[in-house]
Amino acid sequence: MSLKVNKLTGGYSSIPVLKNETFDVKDGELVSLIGLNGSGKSTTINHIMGLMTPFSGTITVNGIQITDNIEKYKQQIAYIPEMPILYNELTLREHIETTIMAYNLDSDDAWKRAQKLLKIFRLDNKLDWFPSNFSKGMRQKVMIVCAFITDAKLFVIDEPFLGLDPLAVNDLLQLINEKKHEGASILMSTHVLDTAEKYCDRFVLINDGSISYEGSMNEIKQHFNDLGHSLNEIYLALAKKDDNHE
Amino acid sequence: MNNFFKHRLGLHFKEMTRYLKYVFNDFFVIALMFFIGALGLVYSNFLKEVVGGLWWEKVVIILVLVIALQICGMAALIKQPDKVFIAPKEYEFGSYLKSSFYYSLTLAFLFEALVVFILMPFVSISLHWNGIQIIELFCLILILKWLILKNNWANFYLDFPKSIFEKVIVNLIIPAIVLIVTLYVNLSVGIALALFFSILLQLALNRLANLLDWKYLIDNEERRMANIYRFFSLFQDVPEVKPKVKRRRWASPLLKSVKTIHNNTFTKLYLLTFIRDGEISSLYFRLIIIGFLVIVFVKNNVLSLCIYDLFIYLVGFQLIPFYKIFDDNVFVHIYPISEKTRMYNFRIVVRTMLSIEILVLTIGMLISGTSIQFIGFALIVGLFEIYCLTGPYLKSKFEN
Repeated sequence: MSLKVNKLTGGYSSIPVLKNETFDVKDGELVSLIGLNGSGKSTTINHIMGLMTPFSGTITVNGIQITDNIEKYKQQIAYIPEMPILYNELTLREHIETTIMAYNLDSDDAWKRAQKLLKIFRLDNKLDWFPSNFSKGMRQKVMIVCAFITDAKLFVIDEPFLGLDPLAVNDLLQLINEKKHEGASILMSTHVLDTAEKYCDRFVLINDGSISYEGSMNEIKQHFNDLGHSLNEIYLALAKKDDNHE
Repeated sequence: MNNFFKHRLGLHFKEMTRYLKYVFNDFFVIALMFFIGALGLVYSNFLKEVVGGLWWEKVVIILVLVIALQICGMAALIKQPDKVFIAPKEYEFGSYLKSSFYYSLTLAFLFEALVVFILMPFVSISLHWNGIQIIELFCLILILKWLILKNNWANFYLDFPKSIFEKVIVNLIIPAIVLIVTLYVNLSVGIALALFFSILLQLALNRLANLLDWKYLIDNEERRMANIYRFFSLFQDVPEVKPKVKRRRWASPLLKSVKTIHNNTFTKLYLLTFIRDGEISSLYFRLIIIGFLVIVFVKNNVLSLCIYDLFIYLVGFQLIPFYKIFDDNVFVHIYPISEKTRMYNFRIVVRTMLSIEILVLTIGMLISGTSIQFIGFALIVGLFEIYCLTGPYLKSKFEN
């Protein structure tokens, strides 16, 4: 079992944003976190990345908690943030080198993987460019390349499709699929429900910091059979229902 | 649109006075007075030696006037969002640009008047010109300035054939030709020639449609403002001046000397940032150069040792806060690298940079003729200082 979030309660100050969340992502599984803006998706991700400390509850990646061994825990995770974050002073080549150094990867193997990815995303002739010359989409592609050259066991991808062209979205989904087959777990947060429905194995619906439902597409359809046939329809109906309650 | 320009001009003046207040602080005004006084003295001494009728005098006059004509360009006072917000009113924008043209022309006239005024004694001695001729020369300069600014303005339109040749011709070649004719042939012929070129340009402009080239307009204005801000940034921090990232290929041997292994991740990151970030490196180099010059010219051993240590402290003290430079980059926190390794890496980088500084300052001491024994003593004190700054001090500041 790759990622296991158990009774996680956490937040930014003393007021908890996340309330008693429990879910998991198994080996070779793509799980999507789905929720409205401000529902707690990013906060959940920040806790998993070890950027925030839980108030209570545990997060384990392949049985290791961050408190057991920080370096070993972080070594297992690769992250693609919602907004691309790059070092202004580093070229694309140096970004890849930094990732290789930071994750202690074998340089030759990692560069082989990088070359393949760079070619896919048409960045192979831009290795000596600085981030200031990149468009938003290109920056996002750099993040994808840097994450996918690692041999992480868990990939955390925050809203991956924004700013990518349709070709790149397709390539990214293919990469995710390859990693899945290699046995990695992928946790993704997204608002693009149509794509998520087609590709994800399971869904974790977050509402107001707690998990309202967790299951595969079939389970969701059965559970909410009166609300609609697609994830989009069901989710919209759920969100509107919650809105009326408040 | 006319009111809009007035509003813009008001904002511009407000911004400029805010910066000028810092530029003309008390110390600078005193220094400036001395400087102007000294320059005046040099100039008046120089004038005593001018006899007139020598070949280089006309060349100097032409050069000074042509250079002066390049200063004070068209101040459009356009801002980036105008492209979106003002675009629907583009058809009325002509009157805005007209106002900005007359504003720029006024500024340029004042500047050219100053230049001609300063040049006046030299012209009257070397060319034996009288007052009326000098006033005529001033008029000629104004016509040329009008021509250059008008051409600047024309560049703002899409269907104006912009090119570097066109700029060189209008800004440099035409004024040079007119001034050569004026000084070597006849003043009246020069004025007639300048008027001829102006009429020619005006005729060409009349045929332009009124479609604005927003990209050029904004780039041009940003470049102009960047020059002004760069001047102000000599005196204070100007938020509008963002130091550019520079590749600095000459530093690549140093960068390559750091092995690309896991334990060097932050050594490489810090080193790359220090070298390429304009702010840090310019601070570092500025302090080292100043320290070097001061040490070269100070002959007193004790004083020179104090300065030596002061500059090591200054550079070290400025560099140490950069430990936190990546803190808003989430990746620094998710790399599987311990804080201890990061601090160790940072220490190596700062020690390397301070060692380079010590080397430069020691060379300064050698040049100033300090005895070898004393330099050895200074070196030991300096190295100890580096140890303290990068060891206990750094640790106490960032280790929690």
